[in-house]
Amino acid sequence: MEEILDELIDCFLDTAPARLLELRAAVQGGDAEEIRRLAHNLRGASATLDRVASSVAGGNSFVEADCLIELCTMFESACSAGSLEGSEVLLSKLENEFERVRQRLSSRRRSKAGLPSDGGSAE
Amino acid sequence: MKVLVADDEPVSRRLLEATLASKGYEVVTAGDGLEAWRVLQDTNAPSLAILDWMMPGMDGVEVCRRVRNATGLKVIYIILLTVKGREHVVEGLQAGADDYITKPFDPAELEARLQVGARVTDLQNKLAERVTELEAALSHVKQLRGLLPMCSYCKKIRNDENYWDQVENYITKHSDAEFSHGICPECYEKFLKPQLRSRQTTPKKKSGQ
Repeated sequence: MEEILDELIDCFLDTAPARLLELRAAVQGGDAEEIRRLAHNLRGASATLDRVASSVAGGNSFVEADCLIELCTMFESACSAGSLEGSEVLLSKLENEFERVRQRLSSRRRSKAGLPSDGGSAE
Repeated sequence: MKVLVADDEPVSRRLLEATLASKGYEVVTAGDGLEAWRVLQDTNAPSLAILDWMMPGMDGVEVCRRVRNATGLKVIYIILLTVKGREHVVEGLQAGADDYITKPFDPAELEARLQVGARVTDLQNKLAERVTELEAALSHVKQLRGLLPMCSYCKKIRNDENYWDQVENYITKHSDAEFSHGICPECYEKFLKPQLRSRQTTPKKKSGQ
């Protein structure tokens, strides 16, 4: 299971940042359907990762993606309700939260690879 | 057993793929609904498919509908992956899904449901095989049935061309039965014995002359 988790972390780090950029473009373009799809996608990825991490760690996930998942859900329900008001604010919160999750994942990847866990800009 | 995993979200797709591969399944993946639909139309298509509900291009429910409306496809057991509520589950099942799993999924539950799917497709395939066998056998059987007009005296049967056939000729033509001729004890007494007797007596007459 731990091997799968490492693979999933790689997969998340390789694909989720691009989703976030697409999400920013969709928010700027006011494309509600696309925002909903991307938020759904990001939520799925974060929730899956969080769940696997918590089952590997015996119930305590180091990913701590609850807040990120919640923000994605808020985006989805806002789009379903047809309201894009405040989506810029929601997006910047989501971006901040995503960055926190990304850093936690990156530092785990570094410590696994035997690299120092600090130094955020080496990516 | 081959299984299709169709999900546009890469982390869940990878987890499904790894989980199923570790259980010995041969996994084929698709990143969207259109790709899934292409895979399922192939003659070598997997007989189990796990389709995510929300996918760009074509969603999982639409893939289900197409599979069920298409003719000539293999027997495919479809499980829908959904985070949606109960009313969506009904829509999915009505579109032709066999089962559903909610996301995030429990690996043990997923495997158990796949085993159900494997059992069902296996039964359906066996049944289809037997039907084909029976159809092939039936096409070889000539049918002998209905009302046959028969002469009360000589027992000939009138055929479709209004010609009177010997019973054995008629049956041979209309069925796979064949005849070997013999003599029953009654006829032996009635016909053959007198003939044999007359043969034995004839030379005596000749010698007496």
